Amino acid sequence: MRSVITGTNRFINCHTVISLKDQLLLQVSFSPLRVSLRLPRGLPSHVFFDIVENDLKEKTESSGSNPRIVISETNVSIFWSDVLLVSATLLDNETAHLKIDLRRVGINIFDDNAGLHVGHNTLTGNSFENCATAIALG
Amino acid sequence: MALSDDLFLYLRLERLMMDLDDEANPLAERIRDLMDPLWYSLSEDDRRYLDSRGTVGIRTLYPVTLVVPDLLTEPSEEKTVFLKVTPEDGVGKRFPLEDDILCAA
Repeated sequence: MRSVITGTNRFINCHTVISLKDQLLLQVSFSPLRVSLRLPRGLPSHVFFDIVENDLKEKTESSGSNPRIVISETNVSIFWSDVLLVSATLLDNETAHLKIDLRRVGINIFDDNAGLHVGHNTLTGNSFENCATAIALG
Repeated sequence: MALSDDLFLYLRLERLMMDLDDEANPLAERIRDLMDPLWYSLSEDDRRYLDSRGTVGIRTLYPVTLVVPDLLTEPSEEKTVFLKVTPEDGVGKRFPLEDDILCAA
């Protein structure tokens, strides 16, 4: 049972954590720990990049050195400039903690002690189990 | 820039001297006298830094001062009670994009 914990919520055996317009936005995979953060083109923020399983596949030419992916055996973190967007940390072989803050790239999703904030909604204490997509946007 | 102990002390005395000067307090002169030997004991780098400041305003000595009356709080020790979300068509929860989800950053 693979679990991802973020903002007091947990996602158990969910293929995709967050999708945007029916396209995968955020996914966490195990063995080894891998993160996919796939921004769609045409966001109001004009930010675009495509990270698939820790690998930056594509980005806009004007992005400079962004995004930056830092990988270790138990953590995968994605930065935009000096701002942390996503950080997945293995708590054990089948559990990962996920820190999210996508506001810097124009998506109002972040987590804190109060919960997972999605736009003006806050998810607290939910257990998503066996979902193809736990949270769908649009 | 990391401050050496002597430089930090010099800056604190300087701040005190300037405060006393503002009040026309004659003690300012005594503080100034204390600062003299300290100046000569500073490294060249520290003296160069002090000379480069030009006119010193109080705000540059203490650029940010915060009053945080509620800084310390009791930690929350509540254990999360999870509410199971039943997926519909494979989706746990769906939010419309009109819910302020996308922004210009």
